[in-house]
Amino acid sequence: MQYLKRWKELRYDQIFKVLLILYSLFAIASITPTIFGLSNTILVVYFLFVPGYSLTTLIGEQNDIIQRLLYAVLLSTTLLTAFFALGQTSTIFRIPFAISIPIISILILLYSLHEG
Amino acid sequence: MEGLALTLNLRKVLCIACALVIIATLITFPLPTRQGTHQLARVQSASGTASANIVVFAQIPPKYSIFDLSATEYVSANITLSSLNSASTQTVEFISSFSPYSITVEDQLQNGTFTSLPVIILTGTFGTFVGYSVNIPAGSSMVSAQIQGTQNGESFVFRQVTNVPFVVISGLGTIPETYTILVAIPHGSVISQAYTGGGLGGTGGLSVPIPQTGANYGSYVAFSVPPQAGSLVIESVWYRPVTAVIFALSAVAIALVLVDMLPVGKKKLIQFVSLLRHNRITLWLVGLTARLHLTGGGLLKQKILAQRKQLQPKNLLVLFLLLGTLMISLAALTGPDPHYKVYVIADPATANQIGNNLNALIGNVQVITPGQDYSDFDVMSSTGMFNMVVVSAYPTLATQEVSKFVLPNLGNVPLIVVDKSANSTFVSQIEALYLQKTIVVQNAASLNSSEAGKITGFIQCCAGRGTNIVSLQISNSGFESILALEAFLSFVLILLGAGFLGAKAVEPGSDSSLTHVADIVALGIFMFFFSEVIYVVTSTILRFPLSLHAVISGAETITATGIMGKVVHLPLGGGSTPRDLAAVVGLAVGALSNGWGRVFSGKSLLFLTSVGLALYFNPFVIGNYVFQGLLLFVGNVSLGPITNNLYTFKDFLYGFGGALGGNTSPVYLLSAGKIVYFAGMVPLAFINRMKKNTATMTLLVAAVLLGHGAIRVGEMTPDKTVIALLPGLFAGFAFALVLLLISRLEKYVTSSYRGST
Repeated sequence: MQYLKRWKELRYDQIFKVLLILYSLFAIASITPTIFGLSNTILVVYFLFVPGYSLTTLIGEQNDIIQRLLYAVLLSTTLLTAFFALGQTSTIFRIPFAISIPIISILILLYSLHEG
Repeated sequence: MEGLALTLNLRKVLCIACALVIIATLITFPLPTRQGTHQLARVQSASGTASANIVVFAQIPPKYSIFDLSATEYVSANITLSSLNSASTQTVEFISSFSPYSITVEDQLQNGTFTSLPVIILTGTFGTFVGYSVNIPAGSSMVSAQIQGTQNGESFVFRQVTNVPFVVISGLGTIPETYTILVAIPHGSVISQAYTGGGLGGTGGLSVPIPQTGANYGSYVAFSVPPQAGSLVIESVWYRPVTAVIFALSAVAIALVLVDMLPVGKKKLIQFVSLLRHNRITLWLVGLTARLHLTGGGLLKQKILAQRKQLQPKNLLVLFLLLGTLMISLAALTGPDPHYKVYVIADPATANQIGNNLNALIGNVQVITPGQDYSDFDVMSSTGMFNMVVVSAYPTLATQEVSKFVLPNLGNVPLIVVDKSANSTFVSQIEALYLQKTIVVQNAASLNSSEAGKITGFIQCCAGRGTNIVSLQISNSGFESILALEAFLSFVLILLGAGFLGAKAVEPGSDSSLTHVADIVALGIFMFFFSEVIYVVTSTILRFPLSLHAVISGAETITATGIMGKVVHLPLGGGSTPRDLAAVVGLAVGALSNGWGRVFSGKSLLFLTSVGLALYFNPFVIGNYVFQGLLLFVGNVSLGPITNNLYTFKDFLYGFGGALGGNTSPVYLLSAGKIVYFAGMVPLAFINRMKKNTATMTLLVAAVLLGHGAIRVGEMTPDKTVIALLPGLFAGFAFALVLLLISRLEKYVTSSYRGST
């Protein structure tokens, strides 16, 4: 009952963040071969928006929806290209995208949820 | 309340954890290095019983100044080739890393007689090195050569960097070689750092054991340097104690600023200062400061405030556009170059003869050779600099190197003359591609009347000098003055453009929304493209490049900035360093004058300056890194491992390019320099929404990136600008993201401390 009460108190953006955390877990599952046999295509949409959206929450972007969407796409591509570029310079950074980026996104979203 | 306390504690724990992670990363993360740079390999010999003994001696007079890239150092090399039992004449080549002013070669024949041998000096065929060709006659038993010369060291912030000189022998096959390098430094100086230069068994940038004991040599001490050493850093024995004091003072300043940031610390500081005020000396100092502030200081402040009003973005933009238009108009009125420009691919002596011959035939001829530059042949020829190319006798290896740059761009030159002594493969390639405009002659250095007639006919028809639009006849010296002026204006153009960008980024009243970010990015792109267009168009009208990106030597006669350098007695070369400086100064002045007190503050500037001084003057390894980095940035001097780290950074930037198109074709090539420029703009666009310390740091980062990128305006390759734009912007967003997170951390630290008091 207590959890249900808390759930009712959640704001729209918090619910959205929870959904994105679930999507991130789903994205990780989709590249894990034996789990669901899910298509990797869902990763395209994921990589296009989610990592960037999580970063916008971290840098405190409080703009309207279209601007946040733009930042989400922009920062997602920035994150992906930065990881790719780091991978070009050193073996230390050759971490698989499909695992590392959802994990980073989940951590940022959890932090963002905690901060409210 | 409990929840709030828990949140605050969690915030503190997170802050401390972040700080620890950053510190641990900085301390433990090994900067990756790239091994191996292109270096001239020294040839070791040894066949039969012949052997070589080489002793290179360098005397380094101390020159501990702020900045001097031409500190003269004296070098001598003694080379002894013994047990030579050659039955026929042998040609031996020596190559020295230094410029000779005296060379003597003595030959001892097997019958005991001594003779002096003539030496042919080869410049311009081994890059910046000098070659010497000696024919050793049959029956020689020993040859002794002595080369005396000079080289340039680099003096930077009271330390001197010297390149360990070397001599290479080739032409004798593989013979045993003894190699000794002695470096003499004055008493009262020490060698503090030594690194490999990539020669003789070494990989560039690695540490080399520093010689500890030396032999007295008058007022100098001579040290035997390991053969793999490439560069040494020399400093006065007083350098360490003095810099230790500066380091300690900077550390105190950092601590004071940090204490001042926190309300508790600020309170304690005020209490401490009020305690000090009871002291008579302090009272006198406070009174004096107040008087100075009211008189001279106050007036100065008023004057500075009045100047700041002139540096508004609108004024800077108008000046920027005015200057660009002025450069074009001036070029249109004075261009094209009155010289008839001929690019001669031949050894120096032949090139000289060809030049004299053509001068007699055409008049007012200027000869340019690969010894001056060949890697920028594409830009030089694209701007219409060359009326003719002459290909004659040139060493095969050098021809292969030069032809890579020249052959694809000969289409930009109206007339090509090749002679029978030229490399046959190169000639056949030229004929296959450019037969319509190629004239083959017997000897370009001595044209017969039929060949001369053919050439003059072709010039009259299709390869003449351009004409001035208002039919003005400008003399050679007058044109040189115009070139020097255009070069000066080209630096001011960059200064004003960067100033406008900096001022606009922090303009009062500008919001911090996405529109502002987009404005700054768009204006930054405009500033680069507009400047590049002005450079390209001015150069093409003048038929003379304003600047070049990678001139190897002799740039003082092939670029307008080089000619300006001759006027002001500075080795400006391609103009990279002054352009870099102009952008850094412009951006800093524009941003600080418009954002002072609001975006930046004295405290934040003091904090960052102290951090910079503490990093530079600290006695640990990081101090050496910062020194090497600054030297590379300011003087383009490679020293130690930082050069390899720079390559890693370059690879990182290329990574963005690789992800977004990459080097898809020879036209769309990536340029790390241009990527750097666009990457610098993005953090600048976010500066309004940062805390003051982070904003000051961002300005510094943006100034370094934009400055380094602005060098490439003078590269004059607009196609590279197109392909570098998006990778640069995404790299910029990555940098901006890091800086925004630091700003958030700064906000956290200050607000959480405030909250806890």
